[in-house]
Amino acid sequence: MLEATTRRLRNTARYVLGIGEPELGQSPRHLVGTRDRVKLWRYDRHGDGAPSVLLVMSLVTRPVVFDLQPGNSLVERFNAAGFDVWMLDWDEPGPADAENTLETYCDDYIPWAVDAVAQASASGAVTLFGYCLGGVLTLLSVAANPEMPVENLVVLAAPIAPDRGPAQLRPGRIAMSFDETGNVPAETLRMAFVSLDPVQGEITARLNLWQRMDDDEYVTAHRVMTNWGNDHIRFPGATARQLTEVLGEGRNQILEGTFRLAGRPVDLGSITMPFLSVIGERDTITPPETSEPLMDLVGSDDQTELRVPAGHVGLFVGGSAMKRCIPGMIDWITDHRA
Amino acid sequence: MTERPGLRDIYDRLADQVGPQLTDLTASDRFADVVEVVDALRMRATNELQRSSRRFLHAWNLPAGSDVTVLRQEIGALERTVRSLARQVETLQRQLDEADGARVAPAPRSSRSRATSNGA
Repeated sequence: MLEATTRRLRNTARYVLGIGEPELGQSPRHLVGTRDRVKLWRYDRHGDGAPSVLLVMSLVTRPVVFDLQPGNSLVERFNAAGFDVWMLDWDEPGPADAENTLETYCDDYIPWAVDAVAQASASGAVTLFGYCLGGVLTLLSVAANPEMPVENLVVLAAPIAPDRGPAQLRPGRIAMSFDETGNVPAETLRMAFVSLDPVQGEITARLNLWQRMDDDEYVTAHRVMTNWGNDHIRFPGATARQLTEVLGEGRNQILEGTFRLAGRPVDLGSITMPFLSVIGERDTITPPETSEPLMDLVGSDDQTELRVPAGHVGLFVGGSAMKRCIPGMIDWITDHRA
Repeated sequence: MTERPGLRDIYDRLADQVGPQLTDLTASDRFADVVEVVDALRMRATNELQRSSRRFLHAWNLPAGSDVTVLRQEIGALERTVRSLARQVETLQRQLDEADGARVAPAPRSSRSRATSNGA
């Protein structure tokens, strides 16, 4: 009893004072290149001749979620499976990035990174792995640039039909206010996510933490997730406006087949490499119905939909992901390596 | 005999009742309209405040925060121009390489520049 009280007091003090913040992203890596603000990282623990996997993050939070902590890291597991893991880090947009459009990401940054990875890869090809909006970006990029050396395409919780998801996150519903840099402020995005379930997000989570303040493991896990989850970044202003045009309420140019990138028609049906779509059945941010149309849209003959009983982040973070979803993805990538 | 509910049980019951209603509210069009109006008002108030403080500071020949903002925006625009020029140089370099390659050997697998050419 005394021990638990001591732990509770110690953890409360550390939490309130911000002492001993858990260190995120510990897998060894090195910077391979930069393009504007974008960074391309390569993780060091990989085998020779391993399949090269390029992780592409969404534009709303930081990619450190791919490598949260030892024992709870997608990167660590991919490295352990022998994969050569690379990561595209968008960084936080500044004034120079406010005019970035979907063309900037899909026709420039992603092809640039894919090419760099392919040149270092034994097979000369890349498995492209996009998460959330990063999944949509990879889909559009591959469809618009068929010459890219992508051997497999994996997308997780890719909201290709956001109009079927929560109203609070639909393009055009997030207040189109721009900060002095010309981008959508990070706080606006954070509030949009909080508004999905304000009671759970703002009160219940804190009560749960208070009740389990004597549980070191729980407190650490809570701090890890809240540190990442609340660390939103600005959203590029021009991309926000463009997404409202392309995917706003009452229209979805991608589903309608009218979407154009730099004036070129983009048809997901032109994607022909093996394709894996991972869907979390308990995902409240990109519910299954926002990703389900992909199986009909993507043209690959070899396509798989992996559905797991997980939430948005639980697809690759946490005990369940480590036991089920990640092994499923590793098996699929291994089976489809060149 | 039933146990008396603890404070947490009472909260959980209340949260079960209120939570979905609040979520419905935040998902409604009316809420989005209110957020938009509040946001516009906030922006207007901020702009007014900045204008007043700028006038005051400029009267004393001092720089205001908004001057820094303008500078940052101008640097951003300049950076965009540099990026655009860098892309044009890349394109020209690629065309030159391809022309050379066509004369000497088969074209390389990919024509894009290596990642290391522009960074670390």
